[in-house]
Parts: sequence; C-alpha cells; structure tokens
Amino acid sequence: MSTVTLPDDVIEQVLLRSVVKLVLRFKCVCKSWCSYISDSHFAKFHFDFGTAPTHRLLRLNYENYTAISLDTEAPFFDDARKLVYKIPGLSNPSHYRRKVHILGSCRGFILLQTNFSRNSILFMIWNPTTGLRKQISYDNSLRYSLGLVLCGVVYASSEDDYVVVAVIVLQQRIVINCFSLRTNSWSVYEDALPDNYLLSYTYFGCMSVLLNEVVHWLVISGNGNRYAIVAFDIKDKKISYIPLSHDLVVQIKRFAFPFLFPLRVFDGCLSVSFQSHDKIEIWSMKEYKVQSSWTKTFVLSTRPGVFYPIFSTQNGHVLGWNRDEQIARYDEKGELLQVRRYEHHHHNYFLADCIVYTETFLPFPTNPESNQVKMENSITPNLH
Amino acid sequence: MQKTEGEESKAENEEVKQVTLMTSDGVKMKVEISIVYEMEIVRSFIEVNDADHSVPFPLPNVSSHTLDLIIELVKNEYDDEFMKTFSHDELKEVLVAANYLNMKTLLDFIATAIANLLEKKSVEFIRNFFNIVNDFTPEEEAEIRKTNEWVFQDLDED
Repeated sequence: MSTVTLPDDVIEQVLLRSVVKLVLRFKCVCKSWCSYISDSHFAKFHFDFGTAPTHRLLRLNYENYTAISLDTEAPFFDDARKLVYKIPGLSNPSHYRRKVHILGSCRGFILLQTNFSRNSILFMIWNPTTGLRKQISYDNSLRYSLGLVLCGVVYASSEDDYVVVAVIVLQQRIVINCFSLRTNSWSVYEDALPDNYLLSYTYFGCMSVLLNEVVHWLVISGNGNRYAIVAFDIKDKKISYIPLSHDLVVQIKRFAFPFLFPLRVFDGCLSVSFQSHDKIEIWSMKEYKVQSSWTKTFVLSTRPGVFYPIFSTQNGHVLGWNRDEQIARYDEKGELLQVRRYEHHHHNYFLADCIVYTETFLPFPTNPESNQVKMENSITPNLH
Repeated sequence: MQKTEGEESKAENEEVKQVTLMTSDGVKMKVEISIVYEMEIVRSFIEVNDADHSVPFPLPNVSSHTLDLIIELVKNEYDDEFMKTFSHDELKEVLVAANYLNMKTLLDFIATAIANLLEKKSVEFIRNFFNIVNDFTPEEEAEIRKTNEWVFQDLDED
C-alpha cells in the first residue's frame, strides 16, 4: 500500500489528462469520486480542457444490428481498442429491413435517422461511449414530401443545448426545423431562397459536417453540373452557401461523378474527396469560406479499386474504407501502411454509414419541466 | 533609463544565477535560476520582492529528495526513461510538488505520465496507487460496474 495521499485537486489534474475509459473506471474507486465524476460540470470540464481526447471511427453493420468502433490512433491489430455496440432502435427484428443513416456527430453524440414511412422520420441522438440516447420524431408529411431535406446536429454553446436540424427546401423558401434537446421541442425558422439556387440540387449522401457551430452539407445539382456547400449557423439561424473552387469543380467534372465522397473534415478544414480512374484526391478549404483557399492536400494512388477517405490522424495518416470492405491506413505520401477486414459486409452503404466521433461522457441539457431524457446508464441515486 | 535598470538587474542575475531553497526537511539547496524560474510560486515572489537570493526561500511542502528529482527532470528536459525509474510514491510526490510550485510543464508531464500508467489498470490498482479507501458496498460497486462494463475490459493484470 502506498503511503502518499493526494489532495483531490491534484488527482483532478491526472483525470484531466486521462482517457474517458479511465475516468469512467475511476467512478468505481470511491463514493466521493463517483459523485464528482458523475456531475455534469466535470464532464464538460473534461471535454473542454482534457488533453487526451480519443477519436473513434464508427461503422454500422446492418447484418447483426451492430456498430463497430475503432480507435483512430491505434493499430488495427489492437483488438483491445475495438468496441462493438448494438445499433439503438434496431434491436427489434421487425426493424431489420429499415434503413438507418448516420447524419452527423457532435461532442460524442451521433445522429441517426430511420424512416418509418414516406412521411415520418425518426431521429436518434446517441452517445455510444455512455449509451445515453434519445429518440426524436419528426412528422410533417407536407414539408417533407415536397423538398430537399438536409439533417444534422449542432451544439449551441450560448444556450448549452444540442439542436437537431432539418433544413427543407421548398419552391419559394427554405424552412429550417430545429429540435432543442433542452426544451424538448421543435422550432421553425424561415429563410429566403436565393435565386432558386438550391432548387435543382439533389441531396448528396446523408452526412452533415460540423465545424464550430455551423452544420454543412455538400449538394450537387441533378445533372452533376453544379456543386455547393450549404451551411447553417445555429447562432443566427441563417443559411449560407459556400462555393467550391473552379479548379476543384473542373477536376470533379472531369473524372469523378459518381465517385464523389461525402463532405468530411480533414486537418480541421472542410474537405471534398473524389476518385478519378486511378487515384483519390482530397481538397481542403484552408481558410473558411475563402473560395481561393481550396487546395489539393492529398493524392493517393489506388490502382485498381476505390478508397473512401474519412479521417486524418494526429500524425497525418489517412483512414478510410476500400471497396473490399477493408479499413485502410495510408501515410501522408499515399503509401499503404495497414489494411484489415473486420466484418463481412455485403451491402451498399459504402459511402454513408461511417463517422468519426470523440469519446465523451457529456450529459444532455436538462430542462426542469421535462424529464423525458432517457438515461440508460445513470448512476443509482443512493450512491451520493 | 529603463534600459539601464534592465541591464543592471540582468548583470545581477548573471552574478547570482542560483537561488537557495529551503526544503521541508530543512535542507538548503542552491538551484539554478533557470530552473527556479519554472516554479511560478517562487518566481513571482523573487520578481515582486527583488529578494536577496542568499536568504533561503522556504518550500514547506517539498522534500529535498523530491526537489532533487524535479531538478533532474528539468535538467534532462523531462526524460521519460528517467521518470520510469521513479517509485509510485516518488511520482506522486513530484506531482504534488509540481502542483504546489505551479510548474506548468512539469505538472503536465507528470500528470500525463500517471494517467498513462493507470490507463489499463484495474480499480484495485488505482485505489492502491492513490491510497483511496473503497467505501462502496459490494452491491453498490457491482451496480456501477454494470453501467459501463466496457471500461473494465481489456485491462492489464495487476
């Protein structure tokens, strides 16, 4: 037994530098640490100031309703870092044929969507790390059936709230539906449609990309001629449009369609990646909303085959899936470092069913008037 | 005028170069000023008071052994291999001292090292390491373990 006893503020210095897995294990050490770590203030403190964030790549496997989660910094052979979760809401066998899409991620929470019917959408906001989750239903058949729908999730820091966003493009205007987890209700905002700009666009992939407090979607016109990023800023509730650069569009048109991959963030920048006949290119917008700053940042020879880049690791490696359903890791020069097959996937969701999230144990915002948040993993109250 | 003053104080520092620290076990130690300057608590005192460096600055919470370890760590530019020779008590003593002396780089280094050491350790190991008494009943502890089973999996043997 050790002889030195540490003050709590010193132990906290260690916890701030600990991965989430160790922090959650620390809850088991004694009652006072359990209640301290379970407090929402500590979860936020650890997220904001912690120095050991774990980024994980999550991929859905529809064959057994599971999601595989891999530590992006760990070697693929390290199975101790691999986690397998049940996809929430899919445990009922009657749900088996229902499509589930990953729409986005925000501070450890993943936004999933299933379609009950043509006119009804069910959202699930889910933290795989803690199991915390909440179902949100959206039922507005008129609006949904008429327009393009772009969905995502964003954290509004000024209200300490998570907001699920569904942007619906109608013929004359844009309707933005926002569900606040704090108030447990939908609000509707409207914006003008500039020059019918969006009207002819198709919804490309399901993926939203969060950068700061703005949700982004890549949209393409039906004939493949026009490309833009639609952005929704939760602070002013306004829609804006971010064009790709001329050079990038020329490249995409020359080679890529339909092998243009959903929008991602690489190295902190909004990035578009696409496949030409023998290589993958990643283009990043180095300065936010500066059209001239689009730069080709990564070129990868993939002869022959397809590689879908998803994430760049701390040391500049690029992770993604290839057409043989293997996860692959390339270095910054485009050399293949590692490849591994995890599950036998035989489905066609190659592009849209994976996302990178950060391990957190953040709570949902609480509203004194509603108590509908489902706390699957809440600590029993008699511990305090 | 200010420039002259600055040069004077610089000349004085070059002359002194060492500050005497008095540890909790009564040992007077002369420490290079570059190392002392990493200790915010001492640095702010010296800078504000223009102190006479020959009068020992008291460190009632730091033992001479711990101060030796800190000096070696700073001199070795926070060498992992050197740190790995520390006992658990030494690691904790350095951590407490780094926090007390407000040595930001050292605190970050040693707290990260301990977090890494504990990353794959059992709850029992963590309790022993921090000298924490388990005040849960077995039922309560089992209940908590059930809420996040994955965090107790794939750990090292104690």
